[in-house]
Amino acid sequence: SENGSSIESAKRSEPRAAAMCQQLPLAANLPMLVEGPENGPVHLTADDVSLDKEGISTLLGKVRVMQGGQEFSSEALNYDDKNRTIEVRAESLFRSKQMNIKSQSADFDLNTQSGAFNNTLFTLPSRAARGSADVVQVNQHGTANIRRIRYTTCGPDSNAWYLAATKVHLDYDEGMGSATNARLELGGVPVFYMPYFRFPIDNERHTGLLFPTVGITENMGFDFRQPIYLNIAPNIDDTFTPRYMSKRGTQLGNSFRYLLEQSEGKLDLEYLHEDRQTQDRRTFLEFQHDSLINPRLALDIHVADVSDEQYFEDFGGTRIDSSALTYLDRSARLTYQAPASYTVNVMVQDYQTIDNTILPADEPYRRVPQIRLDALTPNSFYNTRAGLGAEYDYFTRPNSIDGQRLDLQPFLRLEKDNIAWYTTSQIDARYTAYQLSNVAPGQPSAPQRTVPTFSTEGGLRFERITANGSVQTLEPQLMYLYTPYRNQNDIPTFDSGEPDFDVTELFSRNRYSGIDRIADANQAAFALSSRLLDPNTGQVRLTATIGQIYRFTAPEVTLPGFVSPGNGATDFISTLDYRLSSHWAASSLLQWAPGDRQFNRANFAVRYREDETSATGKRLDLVYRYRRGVLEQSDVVASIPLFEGWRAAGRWRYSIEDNRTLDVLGGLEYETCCWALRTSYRRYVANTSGRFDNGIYVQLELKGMTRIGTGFTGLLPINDTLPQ
Amino acid sequence: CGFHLAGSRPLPEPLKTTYIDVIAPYRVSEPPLEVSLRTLIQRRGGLVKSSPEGARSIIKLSNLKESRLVLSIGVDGKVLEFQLVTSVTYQVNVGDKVLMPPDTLSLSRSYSFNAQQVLAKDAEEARLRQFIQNELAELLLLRMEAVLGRSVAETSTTAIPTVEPAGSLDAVVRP
Amino acid sequence: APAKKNNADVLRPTGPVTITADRAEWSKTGVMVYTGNVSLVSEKMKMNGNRLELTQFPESQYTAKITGDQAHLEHAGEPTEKGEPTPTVTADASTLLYDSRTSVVDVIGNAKMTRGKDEVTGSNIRYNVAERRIQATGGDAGQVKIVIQPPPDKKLQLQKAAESKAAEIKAPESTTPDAKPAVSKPAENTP
Repeated sequence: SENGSSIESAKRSEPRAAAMCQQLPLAANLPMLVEGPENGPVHLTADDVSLDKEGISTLLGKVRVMQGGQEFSSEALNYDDKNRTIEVRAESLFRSKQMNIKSQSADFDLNTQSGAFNNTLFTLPSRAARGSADVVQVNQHGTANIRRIRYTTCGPDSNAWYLAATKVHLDYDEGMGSATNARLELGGVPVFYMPYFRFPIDNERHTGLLFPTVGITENMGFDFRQPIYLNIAPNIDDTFTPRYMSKRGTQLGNSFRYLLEQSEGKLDLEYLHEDRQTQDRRTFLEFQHDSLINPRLALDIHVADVSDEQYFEDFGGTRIDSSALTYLDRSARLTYQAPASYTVNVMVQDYQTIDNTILPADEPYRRVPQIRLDALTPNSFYNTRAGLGAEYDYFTRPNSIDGQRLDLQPFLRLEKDNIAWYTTSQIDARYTAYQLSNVAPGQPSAPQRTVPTFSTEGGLRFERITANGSVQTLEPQLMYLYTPYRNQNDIPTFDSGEPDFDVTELFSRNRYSGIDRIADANQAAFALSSRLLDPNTGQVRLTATIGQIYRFTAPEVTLPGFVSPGNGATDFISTLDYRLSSHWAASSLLQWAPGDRQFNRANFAVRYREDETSATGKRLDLVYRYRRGVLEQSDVVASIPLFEGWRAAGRWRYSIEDNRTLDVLGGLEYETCCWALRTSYRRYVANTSGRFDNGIYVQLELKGMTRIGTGFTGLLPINDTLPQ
Repeated sequence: CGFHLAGSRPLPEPLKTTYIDVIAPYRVSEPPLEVSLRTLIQRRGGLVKSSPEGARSIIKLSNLKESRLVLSIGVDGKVLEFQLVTSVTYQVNVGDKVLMPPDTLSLSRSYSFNAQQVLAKDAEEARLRQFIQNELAELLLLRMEAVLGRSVAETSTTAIPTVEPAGSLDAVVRP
Repeated sequence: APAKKNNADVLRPTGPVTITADRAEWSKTGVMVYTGNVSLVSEKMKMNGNRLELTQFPESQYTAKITGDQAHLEHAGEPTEKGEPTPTVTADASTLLYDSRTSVVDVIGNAKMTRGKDEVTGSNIRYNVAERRIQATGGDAGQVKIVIQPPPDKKLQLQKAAESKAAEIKAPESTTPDAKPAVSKPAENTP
């Protein structure tokens, strides 16, 4: 959902689909099959023909019999016009929309569109599948029975894998094939026996097995997952994943998706009846539902719940970094967009904290509900628009101060912009009232606060054409902010905190985020930004910004337990993003404290990208991140094709400060047109006591044996954690 | 050093009256990207119509995705920094001609996370999303101006060779 | 080859052969030449064209060479003990060369023969009248082509089969009336 926090991960780039294998050239250099009505006339051509009395014709020499989009070609065959049957006692090739069959002898009945082929080689063009079989029986209603078959989707020169079976039934209407007492041969070695096995023979979504994932990890021991895809209806599907873990037991996973007229949703469940290590039940649930009640009213619901705080630390969770999360969001939100220009949001939100180091007193408050109204007059009157931000909240948390809060923020905003310069001034008067319960004795239970804020901002825009014809802009901006001091010590901090000092905060009208603390301010903020544009595409090659705030008086409003900054100049904050070439880009962020002459924050990144979604895509990120007193880390991401179908990818997050690797992930992938083997190794800090979990996973995909389109996202979840 | 106050460049023809078509299923309120794109175009003297009729060009914005990644983790394995990534696919049509084929724009910003101030960080994240979408709107307008300005200039020169090309880039190039 | 000769005797058309033409001429080589919408009719077979060269042999054997922009032959079908009668056979070409001794017609020059509704074209075709056997070989002008029409009653049979199949397909569609038209959305964000 758009707002509200959830463990939704990054957008996944499309998996790299290797092309289908080169096909067995049974029907090479033959003219296209000509479509024809199923019971239309029969066309025969040959070098020599003899047509006798009873209608039996024997044809010799480059014989072709064509009828209803099917064709027989051979050196010799007989055709009986009375029974409309074809009899071939020489090598022949039968071609139809679905199959090409080369056989040593064949009989075909044009009336019933069925026939038998012996000692055959066949191909299914739509799946680039091929095989050999003793007998292929093509039946009337678009089905085929094949005996003693070897089936694969690999190219003619490779026997990487075969599905051998005594009998296979293909049904083209249903788009499915089923094999009885089948065995799977890898490189000629039988590895798997299946009494009965179904596989898709077209590109539709079909119920069937997805490819299994096998692994060994410290937390779970031997880990085997076999997802089963259920295509319930055109708009509903389900993936059921039994998962055996030697150290934990058998877990049942299920992911159900639905798409209705005006809504869409997904329900993920994981259920382990009894965890062998902890002897209790371990469950995970995530439900996401987005719906449009009417064109003006939308509802979105997100619920995530785990049975215990260590759940992701033990089971890794559906996304690569689930174990890093400290809370799970559960919220339901109604949004009403009025025809006039105001929006009403009604939300109920709760959190499940899944970090056992967080004290109950620090857990987030529940907002049951929050009602927010945002209104702004659409057009301006003498460049001035009026607006109102109104919010009602009911905060509650076990054995803490609970409270209702009403916040009204009417404002007037004057905006003037004519390209070369712009100015924006805003004045608002904010009234906030509280009704608190179980307040410490002597503390007021209904504190109030009224505080006006005035800000005026202006900027100039300069341009020039650089030597190589690029357009460079230069934009100085200045803002003065005044908010008088109001004593807010009696107000609990339900949703106020200190945001990062960043370019985005330079021109904010309150130093704190949230509503419980409105910082007093008498300050001026200054920023200078510049962009270098490519005149033809308008793409920005360079963006640079530097800014600072100068406080005329020292602010006094503080967060409990925090000291407020003095007056004078704050740190400088600057960002730079530079596209060096079509592949290379560099970026940096620096927060420089002029007084102490030191950096409080510094980021440097160099990135290389080369058509990421193709099989030859390359990617490299070298990143350094420093926040004084918080972290100093390096982050390397790489994904490079090695040679002939091999690809290596990895990510390494190292804490320079603690001189320790926090997370290393390496993956090796070998992919050919008909099979792929993927292995990945991961060692990462799995729980709050700093214990590492490491594991290796292997995944074998036999293309054509599973539903097409199952992208490889599971094992090498490189896309899940990547900064863009 | 050659800088001069930005002259008031007219918008390219197609953007003079345009319609912003946002394809965002299950969403009723206008995303900040659409609001700031409309403000930027109106500020430049363009007219953003409330329906496609009569609009000279249609700006199609689709799969506007906002995602939150764990960027860095601490020694306890818990998240220290999140990264917000917002991407949008845009396309500009004039009548049934595709003037700008579908392309995507993506921006990201990171912010530190504090497990004791979840609601505050939630508010900070909302403010960052707004900031990112406003910047996306600026980048989008820069691209449209350059590409639409140039293609209009080219067609007008080829159509009536004798007339001085009225393309907007001329104004910029001639200091 | 003697063997062939005697069964040709058995099968040779016995009835009289009548020839009509605008003009007839006796040429010194002993060949009769008839010209002007010539037709030669024997018991079951008739041939016509613009010009006929008839050469006679003992025991009323003969060879007839008929030419015309399209010389035409028709050989009527005959009832069989069981099942339908054998279909009538026609032949059209620029030259038809019939030899009663071998009971074979050589069909030469953009030759086309039909047998019932089926059609045979080829550079050179040979039709054995007695055995009702058509033999065609391709030449430099390309291979022999045969087009065989589906028999009418068979067509009906196939029609019914096709309809039942179509009915079958329609059934599953209607069982999910509320579902939106097949939406491929779930397949995109695959698990």
